[in-house]
Amino acid sequence: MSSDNDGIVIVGASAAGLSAADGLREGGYTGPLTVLDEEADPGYDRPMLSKSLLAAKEHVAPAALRTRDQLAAKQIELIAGHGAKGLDIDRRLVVTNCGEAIGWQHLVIATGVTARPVVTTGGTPLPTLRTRGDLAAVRLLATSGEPVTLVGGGFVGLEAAAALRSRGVDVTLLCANHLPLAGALGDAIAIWLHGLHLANGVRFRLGSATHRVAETPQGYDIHLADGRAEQATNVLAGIGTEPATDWLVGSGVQLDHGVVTDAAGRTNVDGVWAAGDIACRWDQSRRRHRRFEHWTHAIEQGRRVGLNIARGEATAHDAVPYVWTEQYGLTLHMLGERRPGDTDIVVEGSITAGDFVVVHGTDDELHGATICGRVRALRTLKKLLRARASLNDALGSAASA
Amino acid sequence: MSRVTVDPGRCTAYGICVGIHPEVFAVPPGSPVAVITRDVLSEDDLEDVEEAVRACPAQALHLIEG
Repeated sequence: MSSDNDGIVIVGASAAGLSAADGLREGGYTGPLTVLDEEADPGYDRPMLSKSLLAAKEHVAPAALRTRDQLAAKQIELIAGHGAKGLDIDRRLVVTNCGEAIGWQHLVIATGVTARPVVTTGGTPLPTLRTRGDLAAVRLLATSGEPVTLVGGGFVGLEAAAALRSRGVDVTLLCANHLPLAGALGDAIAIWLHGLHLANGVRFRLGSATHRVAETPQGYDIHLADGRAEQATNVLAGIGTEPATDWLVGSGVQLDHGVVTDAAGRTNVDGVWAAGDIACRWDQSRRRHRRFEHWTHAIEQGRRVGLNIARGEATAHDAVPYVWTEQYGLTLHMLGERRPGDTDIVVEGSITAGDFVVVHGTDDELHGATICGRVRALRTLKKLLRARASLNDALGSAASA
Repeated sequence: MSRVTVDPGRCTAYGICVGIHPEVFAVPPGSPVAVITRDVLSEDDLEDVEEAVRACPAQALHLIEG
């Protein structure tokens, strides 16, 4: 670990943080490179926690993102169990939970997000599914034979519902929206997905947010915003995430629902960069700062920040958003972003058959695509989105395919 | 000619590579590992294959440039 201010420190051994380290070496940086992470065994494959790792009958540990040998070969020093607690931008020091003050020439903030807590009236946070430790607890729930109530109908909630149903657990899902994921997928796909969960035995309480959760001797009383109440034996909350910016409050680094950066990943403080889920990055095409919580985005943006630091550049990261979800053995791929009010057009296959290519857009603008089964369309649509093609172009490409 | 290989000892068939380049990678039903469906990569393939190599959570893909 460098005590001088000549090295580069990456805070968070996340997909973004480790990719930034790789990008620094790829870009030719040969100096000291330290990655800090508060978890004792950091750097693992988080997206699978709510997917196959929860569904698996036998316990399988999340995959490590890098082996010791891979880190050693690139001279990346990973310091586990040492999280950042504060940042001094004048003296260029990051202070850890162990009391160290580590100097840096450049700092990359990659501490990601944490699960947004749902706290009971008694002050207890409900279990969530975000970390290796959470997975162990939820897997215990899955084998208890007791029913589970999921609070939140986003990706994590739906994936957990599918994984728990595959293990025979009785599942109730509470969702604030009239249909799960209707905004991201459009009503037609959301109706099909809802039906898939119903057919697999999930009970739904739709259209009302969770207002208040009280602990009872039997479990929990969950009061919904519309006055309904639901009793639960076990609960798992998945109502979204919050950027892990606590350690940066008051540091001078600009925060606004994440760490604010330009398109290249630079914060308002010279030498301080941010990448991954925590970065609220300037999006030139949408003319505003935006945060993405996508696996491939975290990796590509992390790498870009690493390359920029190593090469002394400020190249923007500009990629087509991509996210996937696995439920009941089906994989939904989402490219770009559906926007409110978009028209959803089936260009191949059939939604009800669970085998489709659907494009989202308005008038003549292509905004996104949702694909199930027909993966060969993914690359064509990614190229069309990258080229800012029209909805008509997307319809034409399907006709000629 | 460039090509990409899968390390069967590391691959766990997550299929992220398939999402990034479905014409080069596939996970056939029941297969424990991803398979390569295009032996020789074209110039057009390289950018997405390189992204798939970086995106693999198991670091199971290797690009052999030639």
